[in-house]
Amino acid sequence: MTRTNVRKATSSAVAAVAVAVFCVATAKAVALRTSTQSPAVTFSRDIAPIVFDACSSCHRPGGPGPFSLTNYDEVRRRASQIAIVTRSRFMPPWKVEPGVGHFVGQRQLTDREIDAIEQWAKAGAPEGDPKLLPKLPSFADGWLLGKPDLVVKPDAAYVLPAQQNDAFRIFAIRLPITQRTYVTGIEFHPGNARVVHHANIRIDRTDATRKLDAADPLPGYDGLMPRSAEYPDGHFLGWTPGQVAPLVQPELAWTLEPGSDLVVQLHMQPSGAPETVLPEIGFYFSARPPAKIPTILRLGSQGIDIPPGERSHVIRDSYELPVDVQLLAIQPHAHYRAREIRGVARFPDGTTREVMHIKDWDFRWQHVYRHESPIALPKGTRLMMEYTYDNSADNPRNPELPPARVFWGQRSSDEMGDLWFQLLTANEADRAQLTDEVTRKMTAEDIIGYETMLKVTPDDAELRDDVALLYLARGMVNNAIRHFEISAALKPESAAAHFNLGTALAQGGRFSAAVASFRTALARRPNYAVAHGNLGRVLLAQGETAEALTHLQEAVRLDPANPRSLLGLAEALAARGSYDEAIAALDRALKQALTEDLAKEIFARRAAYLKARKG
Amino acid sequence: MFAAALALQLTTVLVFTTTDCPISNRYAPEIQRLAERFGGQARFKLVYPVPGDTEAAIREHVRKFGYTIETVRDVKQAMVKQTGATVTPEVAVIDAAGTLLYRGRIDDRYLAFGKDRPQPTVRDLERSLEAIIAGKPVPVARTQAIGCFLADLVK
Repeated sequence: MTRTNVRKATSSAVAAVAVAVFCVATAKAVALRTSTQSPAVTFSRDIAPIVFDACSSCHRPGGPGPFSLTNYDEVRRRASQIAIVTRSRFMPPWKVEPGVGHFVGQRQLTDREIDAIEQWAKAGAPEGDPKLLPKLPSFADGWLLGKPDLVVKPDAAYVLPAQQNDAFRIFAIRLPITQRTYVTGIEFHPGNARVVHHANIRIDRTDATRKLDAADPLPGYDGLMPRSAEYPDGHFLGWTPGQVAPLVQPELAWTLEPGSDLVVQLHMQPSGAPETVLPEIGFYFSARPPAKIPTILRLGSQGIDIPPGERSHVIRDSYELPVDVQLLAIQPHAHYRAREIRGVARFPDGTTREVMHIKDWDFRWQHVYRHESPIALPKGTRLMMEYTYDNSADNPRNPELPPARVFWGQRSSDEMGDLWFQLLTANEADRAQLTDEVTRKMTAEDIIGYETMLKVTPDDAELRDDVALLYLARGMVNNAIRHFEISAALKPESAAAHFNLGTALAQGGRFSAAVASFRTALARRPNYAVAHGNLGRVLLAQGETAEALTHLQEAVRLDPANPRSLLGLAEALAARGSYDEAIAALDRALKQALTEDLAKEIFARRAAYLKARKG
Repeated sequence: MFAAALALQLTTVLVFTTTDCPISNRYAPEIQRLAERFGGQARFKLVYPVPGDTEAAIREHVRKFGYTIETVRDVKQAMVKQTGATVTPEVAVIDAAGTLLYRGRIDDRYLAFGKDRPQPTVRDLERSLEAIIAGKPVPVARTQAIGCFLADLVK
């Protein structure tokens, strides 16, 4: 019998229970004596179908539940507890309010089922007729999505010490692929299901996570994920107990580049004893590149700053869709002070629909909510989020007592507030437009996040460098200069800090100051090729042709393959009339890997110098 | 002064537990810490009231969770009835004369199933033992513990 059938077969029995419950409610004394009479609610007939369907898939030997609920004796031993946690809707864990959507893996008991469990527990948890007991579904223990094409795990297991507080650990796992690969899904096995509470999973195409992992002598590291650890190509990754994200259609596969690392952050709830944790992740591949790529939109605030004691702090964000989309999935994220989470879509005709609503947010039960069928959101729909935080002592989950001012930040003791949407457009032009807009929106918010973190740690030079680069990418040169100036003052011996400042000053047209910064950088690192190159180019712009030539020659000597230095050298040579040498430098540049824009510029120069030579 | 010290040596802390109660097990490091802190002044005993917790299962439990305190089985629930314990983990502090000075939670970390504080705000057992050692009355003598229900477990 399938799990659905178990549930269906008992619907008539549950209906009978509802009648019995009504009678019992009017005469409590009857309920207390039912165990010696013909019981109104019994395990075999009424409770087992509910438990086997809604609980046993996790609460079984080897499952993520902390104890098993697979037979009468196991369930009877927890009867009162099951009645309490189902009534409070702590279990089965499903945080979203009923009616918000039909999601993959949705687990919610009906009020009737909860009533039946409560009556059964009050009646002394009678077994009833064992002949009526449904068969326990068979739970697959291996790979639920089939045999993976690739299985990876961290190099070594982590031993979680016996401690009381939750723990976090990030692992960078090298993916042994040698060519671009297309992924239709992953399956996560926690390795020690009883302590691993959830997993955040990302892909890092850089070595940033790997370096942080390597710097910690134990397997994995405790800290933050670098920003380069990202969701791949518009797809959510992650794991919550008892849930397996289904494979996507091959046309929606995401691309994995060689050299990427899988980044797995485990949130662990200690058992009281030392525990060995070694997760395993299976990958499922597709031979074809994707035909469609979803876009991820993140609404939220990175400017969170909540005074201590504030009971109801609200953040809001919204975004109007420029094109028609299908909403595929949604993921809320916040930390311990968040209480209520809401997402609403307001359609162009003014009607609204809740797309997310969690009344009692629990950091421990984070989940990616995937719609069974996509929701159509026409162009002009406004997506809105509103999160409410309680930073008072009345919030038992508040990590700071007495409450303290809290800012946005990625540590679990900081606060966050994001609502992520996975959106699929009708065509590539729409996707390009949507992705471009949301990237700009999210980068602007990322900058606010950095500025918020710098309120807390103003002397963090790496944060200053990162946000300055974001400002440069957005063309906000003066803001970039401001942060690079502070960074250079914080680490005056760093040649790179002065180089960064010089480069930003040059972009801002402040050539004299730029020259001074490049000279400072070169005083600290005389063989700094790109500093010679940039200094030469600025001097050239200032008309200091002779000195410019010296530095550009030095830049090319130190790094003969840098096309920008070669271009600068050509300009300096041309400025003094040496067109043959200038053209030779450009020809060398053309042998290097070039962006389209740079190649165009070099060809244009080459044509101009050829013409000038003839003239 | 001398009389107080003598009495304290005979103060007993019964810690009701089972081998398979998750909340109880998560308290293992805290129970062990308190047993070590009050080692000279109070005698901690892990009490196993569930008949299914056999001698062998208890030995394995103590080993796995690193307990160094003594254990006792209470398969007829005599100590449960004497003290009025209802869940695991729950503690009962008894003086030399057999008087129940404190019964209830170890601390207020848990508010309900699935709802717990990152740090307790009141460490009830520790506070009670400090009061007893100082010869003062226990501030709050009865509290409600959150955990696995003994009534279901011993049935």
